[in-house]
Amino acid sequence: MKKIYIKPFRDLVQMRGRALLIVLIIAGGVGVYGGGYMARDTFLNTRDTYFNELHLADLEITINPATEEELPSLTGVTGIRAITRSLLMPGSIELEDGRPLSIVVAYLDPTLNPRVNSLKIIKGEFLSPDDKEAVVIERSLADYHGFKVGDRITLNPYSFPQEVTVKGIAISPKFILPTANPDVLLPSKGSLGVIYANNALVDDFFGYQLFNNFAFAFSKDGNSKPLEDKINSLFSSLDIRFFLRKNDQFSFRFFEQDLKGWSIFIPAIVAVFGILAAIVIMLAVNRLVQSQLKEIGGLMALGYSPFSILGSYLILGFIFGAFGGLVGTAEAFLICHLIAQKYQFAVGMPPLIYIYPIKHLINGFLFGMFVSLVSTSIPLLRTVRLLPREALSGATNLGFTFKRTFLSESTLLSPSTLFGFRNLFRRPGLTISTILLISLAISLSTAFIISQSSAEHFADEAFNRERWSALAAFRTSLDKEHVAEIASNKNIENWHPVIHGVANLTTQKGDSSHFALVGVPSKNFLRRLHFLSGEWLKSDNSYEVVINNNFYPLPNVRVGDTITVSAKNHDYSFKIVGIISDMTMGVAFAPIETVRKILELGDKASGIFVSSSLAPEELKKTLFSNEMVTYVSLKHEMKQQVRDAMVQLRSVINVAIGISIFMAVLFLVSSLTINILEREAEYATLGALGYTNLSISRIVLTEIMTESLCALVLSIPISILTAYYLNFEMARAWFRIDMFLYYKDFLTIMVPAFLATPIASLPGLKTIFSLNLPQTLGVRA
Amino acid sequence: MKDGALIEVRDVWKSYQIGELTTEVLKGITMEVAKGQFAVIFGPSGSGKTTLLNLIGALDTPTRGTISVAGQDISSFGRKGLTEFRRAKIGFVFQFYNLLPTLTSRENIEAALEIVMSDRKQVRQKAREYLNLVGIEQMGDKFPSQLSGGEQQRVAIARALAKEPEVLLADEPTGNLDSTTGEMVVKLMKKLQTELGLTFVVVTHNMAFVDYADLLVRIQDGKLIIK
Repeated sequence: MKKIYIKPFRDLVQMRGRALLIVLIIAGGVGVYGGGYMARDTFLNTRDTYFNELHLADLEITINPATEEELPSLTGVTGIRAITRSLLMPGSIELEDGRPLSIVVAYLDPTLNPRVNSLKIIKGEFLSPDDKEAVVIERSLADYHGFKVGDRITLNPYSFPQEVTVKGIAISPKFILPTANPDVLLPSKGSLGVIYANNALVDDFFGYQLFNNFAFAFSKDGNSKPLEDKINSLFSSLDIRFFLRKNDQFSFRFFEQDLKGWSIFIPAIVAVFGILAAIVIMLAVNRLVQSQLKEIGGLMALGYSPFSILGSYLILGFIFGAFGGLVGTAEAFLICHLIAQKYQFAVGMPPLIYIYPIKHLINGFLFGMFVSLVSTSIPLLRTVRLLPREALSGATNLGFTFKRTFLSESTLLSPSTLFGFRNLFRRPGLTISTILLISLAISLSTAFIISQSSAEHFADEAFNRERWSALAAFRTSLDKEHVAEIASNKNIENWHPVIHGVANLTTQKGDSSHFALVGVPSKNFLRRLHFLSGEWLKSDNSYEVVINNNFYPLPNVRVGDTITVSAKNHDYSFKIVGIISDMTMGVAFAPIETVRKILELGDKASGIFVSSSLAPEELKKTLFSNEMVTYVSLKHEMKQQVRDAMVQLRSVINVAIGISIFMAVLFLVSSLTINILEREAEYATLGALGYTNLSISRIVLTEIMTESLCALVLSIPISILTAYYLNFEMARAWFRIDMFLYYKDFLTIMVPAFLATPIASLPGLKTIFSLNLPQTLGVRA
Repeated sequence: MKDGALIEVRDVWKSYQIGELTTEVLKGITMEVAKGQFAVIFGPSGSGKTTLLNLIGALDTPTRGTISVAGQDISSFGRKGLTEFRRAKIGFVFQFYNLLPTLTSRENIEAALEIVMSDRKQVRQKAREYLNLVGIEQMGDKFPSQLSGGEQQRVAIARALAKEPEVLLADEPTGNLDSTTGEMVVKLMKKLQTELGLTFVVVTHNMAFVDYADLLVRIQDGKLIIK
């Protein structure tokens, strides 16, 4: 090996502390990259494994309960591999503390585990034809409410009580993410109990067999759209309540959207880390090059080409990149597990099935190497262009070039304090880089906090605006008188009917998607929607629609566009009058009378929105006491569930904040150390003049605290812009979130960062205090 | 200490450990400098003269032997003691001036004064006096980068003198100057030494100093050859 290539290894020894920081900084970026993507892939793998192994339905249709005779014949329909028929009955159970919990009971054929939406029994056993009262509970009831095999449960205690016994606990592909309301795209652990029961239990009650849920598995070949349309057409004579393709399933959609967000966040975070790492490396290498300028001149004089000199320093960059990459690769596994476990707990997933795709580790490693090599070469490019004479003279442009002696007549500032202040203007590039580094490091963490806090506050605000207290869904669509009877409770202050159906919406350009078609009154609607554009419905009979187009199932729709609504084998032309954004997906609100007409419902309603001053749990019990009410969603409960989900998700964000704070500390220490060491000869001069360590510290701190203060000020707009960017990206992946700025969100990171500045300067100060004065003074200051 | 001896160096050894190799830089130096003398230490490169100056100036401590300056045995001082001693008794002039680049000439002098005086007006007044003394009063508001090498060295001398040390130590003060400017600096230093009655110890290769020396010391291979 040429001697010139041994030099960088020895430089490393000289730089050891800073070299270690650089390696850790690169490792941080590589670790976040590899770990973040491996965690994302682990979730997708977990989801897909459960979906495939347990045969998640390709299509699921829910209708009003019908007998065998009323069901359409599927004979001759090709492409259906398997069907599972069941009766889904929403209802309630009472928890130990007396609170009612919404449940869904799926009445199944007890002789075999369903071929579609199969159950993985994790404890106990499947249903038995010999035991009518045996049930299998979905794992959420066990995990979040403590039910176990052998427990007795009373189904529907407020209307038709039925005693059953838990025989087994299962994982269902439909409920790998638990939620009480699949229309609200936020998992809420334990909000919905799912119970699988013997269909004989309900058949005996009715005296005949009823079905309302059909889960289809398709043959894997070809486009499934014609088959879906065919099935839709066959079932359209019955009232279709839900028409769910695999991709519309809550668990599937949630992961698609949430992990799409990850794919946006991870590169953004890694890019910020990359920029910060590049600045730190450039500063450190620049300092090394400046201190070795005469040696470089000597090498040039000996006849070494600029490329070989550049090459010798690039070895240094390679070493930083390689070690950073290796440490980062190890870190990636740690970060992957940390994020995955937090996220699993936050959203309530079943046990994870980890995968570690090597491509993310390789990409992360290459990213670290790229940042390291590029940022190492930048300070060298100018240097290797110097003439040997210039390099030998050590002309480093370090001279101070103030034109005016500002602050010179100040009697408030002593010369040593002035020295500290003016050092800030001495190498503007270094000062600006340091300020930028600190502010970026602070901003990233602050932006995460602002973004999270905005989401929480936004959710709170949204619920506070709403005027409804509960939404009650009926077992079947009920006529006007029956609805009025349910609502004629003295504790219900206000109410209106609602119709929930399914329709296919098609734009003029031909884009089409199934939406939940919700018929509501145009006046006194109890919900308060968040309009992105347009306005609310004008009358109860118009052909107008307000849509929630979150996740863009219909691309490029605008207020004023005409849209075709297809239901019951008929097409209707509607005008889009408003576009809203909330936590639901694929919902179209239309005038109640119009919806009744196109769904052929006469004067019926499928549920009611009510407002009441009753305590939420009392209201729920009151509504459940009517035999026709099968499901009650409380605003209070939803608000709490959203809050809980936010708190859980905060723990995932906290991992990101923790990592960025750790990185911020590394950046702070490295940039301040480099900054301090830039002036070691001058601090040595002060030491020779008789300045104590305390006096020198004061000068150093004057400089770095001013930098820190500037960085804090700069971090405010950067934090806001970064948070705005994060929220903007979140809105692309999720739903729109307004930004709320609270001073405490800024102070959470800024105050500790400011207070940590003196601590972060300790390594640099320690070096200054232990300087060998004669040796340091021997070089040109 | 003998009467009149401000600096007394007795059997001083200094060695440096570099890896497994121990290098003896000073080998039993003994010398004295009387109060008010202009002492010049010369010798070939690597002879140990700067090391000796650093020991006298309390920038370093001897491996063996004693050094007394103004009645204080500094060879036993700790880091804090050495700092306080330098502050009170020693003025330094370096080959590369070592002025603080972000302070003007006057502020550089004030920076040396503020650690021994608290009255800001007095500090400023005194800085002006010493700028005047070294003949560059009009350069007070100039930064080091705006001054010639000779002017920078005058500021460095003014800075060293301003806090009125007992001893002024200069390490190759003309080493970075052309011969004419170097000659002017030598004369200035001698003039100041005479006028102020200060003790000067100068390490140099410049033979121009020899004509002005009250005490001439030659060091070679870490040993005192001529006194």
